[in-house]
Amino acid sequence: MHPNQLPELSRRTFLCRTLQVLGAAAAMPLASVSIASSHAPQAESFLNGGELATLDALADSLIPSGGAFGPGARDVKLLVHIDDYLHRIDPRVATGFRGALVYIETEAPALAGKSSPFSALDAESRAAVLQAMLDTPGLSRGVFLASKNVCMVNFYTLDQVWQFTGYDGPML
Amino acid sequence: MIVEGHEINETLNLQTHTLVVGSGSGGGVAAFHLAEAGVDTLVIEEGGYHVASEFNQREEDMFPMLYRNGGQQTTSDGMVSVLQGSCYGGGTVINTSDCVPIPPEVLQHWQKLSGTTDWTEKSLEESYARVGKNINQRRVNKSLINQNNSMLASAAKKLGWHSHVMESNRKGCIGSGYCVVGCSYDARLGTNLSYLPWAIEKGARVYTDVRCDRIERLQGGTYRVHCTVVQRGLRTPRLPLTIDCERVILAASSIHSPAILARSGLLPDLPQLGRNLTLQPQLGVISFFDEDIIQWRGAPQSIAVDQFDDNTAEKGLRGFRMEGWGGVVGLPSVLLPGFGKDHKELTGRMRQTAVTALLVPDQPSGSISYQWNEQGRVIPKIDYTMTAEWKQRLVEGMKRTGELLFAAGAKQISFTNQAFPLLTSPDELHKVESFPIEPGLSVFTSAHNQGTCRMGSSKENSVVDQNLRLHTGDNIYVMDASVMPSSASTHVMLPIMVVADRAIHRMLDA
Repeated sequence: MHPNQLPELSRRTFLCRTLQVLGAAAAMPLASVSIASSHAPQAESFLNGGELATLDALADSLIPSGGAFGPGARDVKLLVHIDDYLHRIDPRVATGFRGALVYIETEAPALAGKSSPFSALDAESRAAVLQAMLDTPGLSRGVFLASKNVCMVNFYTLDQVWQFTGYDGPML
Repeated sequence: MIVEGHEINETLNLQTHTLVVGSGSGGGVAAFHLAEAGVDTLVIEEGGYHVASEFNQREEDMFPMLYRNGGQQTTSDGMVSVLQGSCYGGGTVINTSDCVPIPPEVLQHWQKLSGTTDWTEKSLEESYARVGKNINQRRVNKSLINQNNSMLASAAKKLGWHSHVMESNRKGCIGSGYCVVGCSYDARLGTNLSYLPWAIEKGARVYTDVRCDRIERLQGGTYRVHCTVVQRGLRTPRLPLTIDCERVILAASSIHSPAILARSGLLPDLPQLGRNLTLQPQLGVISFFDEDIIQWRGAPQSIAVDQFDDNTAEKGLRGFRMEGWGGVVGLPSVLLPGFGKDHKELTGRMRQTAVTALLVPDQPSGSISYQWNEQGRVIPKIDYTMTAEWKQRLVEGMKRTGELLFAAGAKQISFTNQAFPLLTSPDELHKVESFPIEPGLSVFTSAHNQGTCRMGSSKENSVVDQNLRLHTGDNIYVMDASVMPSSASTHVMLPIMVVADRAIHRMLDA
């Protein structure tokens, strides 16, 4: 059963358990834990359709297209990279990230007075939700930072992004 | 001989005289000198055996390969990222190569703190000379000092502050900058390229991908060490492995050496076990310039601004230092505050970005407790309190770092806090008085965790004696950063090597 469909009490238990393991990712400067440099793409998604929709909205809010340089999360298909990354990391942390997405989708919008799921909000409302998460000490802030870490590290270590940040890449 | 875990396909019982657990700064030094003296020596290392050709200069691949938990280990409140090397060579494979000795005031402090009266400058001279020669300790070549570091020296000079070129164990360095993700050019003499191969040449055996779980006392003063061969990567258990030996040397780090002792049932006999932890939390400071800085090239941490060192016999390592860190780009992108287009505006200026480490030594104020999961893997709970005195010194250090960077020409400074604004002029530095030190806002980094198996005069104040042998009387020694009674130095590779060298030579002389 998808966590969104769990009864309220079970969902809270699921969230608590899965978010506990994200404590590390919240504080960790490098959230990436891939195992090898060249990976064959996974045939099946780690995340289900609903979770992918949340992640898409989240990544687009954190790293939108435009601004100082063109590409954003959607332009580099960050979703695919993160989903692939979730296949390869410690299953406990991957499950924790799944819990974070559930939290962002269903619980976090209320912090900014929003009643719709995160993925259904417009860009401005999503930014308000993320800011509210950052402003709320404890779990919300931890989930925000952990999610930001996963998205940022997976984005800024992509070769196609380096030309926009000025990083000239490995010497090898 | 090196045996990698994947080459082991059956349960093994090995025999040796001395088992060394861990292959980093302490374990490597111990293994070589034992093997050199003709002692049958076996080294186990939980991490994998990797060579330069595997180091691809990509942080997203190298952190998982070379760091404990892929670099994800933190304190229980998530405030401090506790980094540890976990591979053949341990921390010596991924540190910034700095060699900083133990200041004399710290040795005096230890004498007061835990009665280490044998530990004097004079008593360490031979070890410093030996280790320094073995790892090619020397001042960083000026051609390797990048703008990220040289501007600190220039600004310090402008302000009338003292700085110096640091010493390192590089040899043949080309300044690629990727020290913290493993040197692709074998240009740093970590134990992986020095002590361990020398030990092997003298007959030592090294088993990688083997986790030490616990030590069992056998009759006749011998030990059976229970281990697990783990799958490389996620480190799931594959096979049990036992090692019978007469002596055990633990060099598995401040986090894991006490875990092994605790699981071996020694906690009741060693009341200080897992206590007196120091983390030396560092704060990353990111600043933006008009001109290119390119922090990822050249030798990181090659200049130290040491104007504010304040070491005393009463308080040990004190004050704070600034050094130019660098080598990767993913990490700064995470540390920068905010999100959305504002964040992209900052990351788009990566070439003009400097990264400075503010190092603020601490006093022991942490402890570790342990749980083990169903696979036998230890889950350390690292509890750490930042004292009021330390926070005060941090704030003072932030002000001075701000002064330094603005004097260097910085246009904006981020103290890498998710809720603290970028500062744009020295007039704004007073704002650091209200710097929020809260979980989820600031991320500190600990690369120099020490304590937890403190050395000293009795088991009331320590875990090991001055020869680094357990106070229980067992033939078990600890030779890693955990034996330091307080922070030994701003960079601990050299102190650990010297401590291990001294202990091994005392052991062999006896």
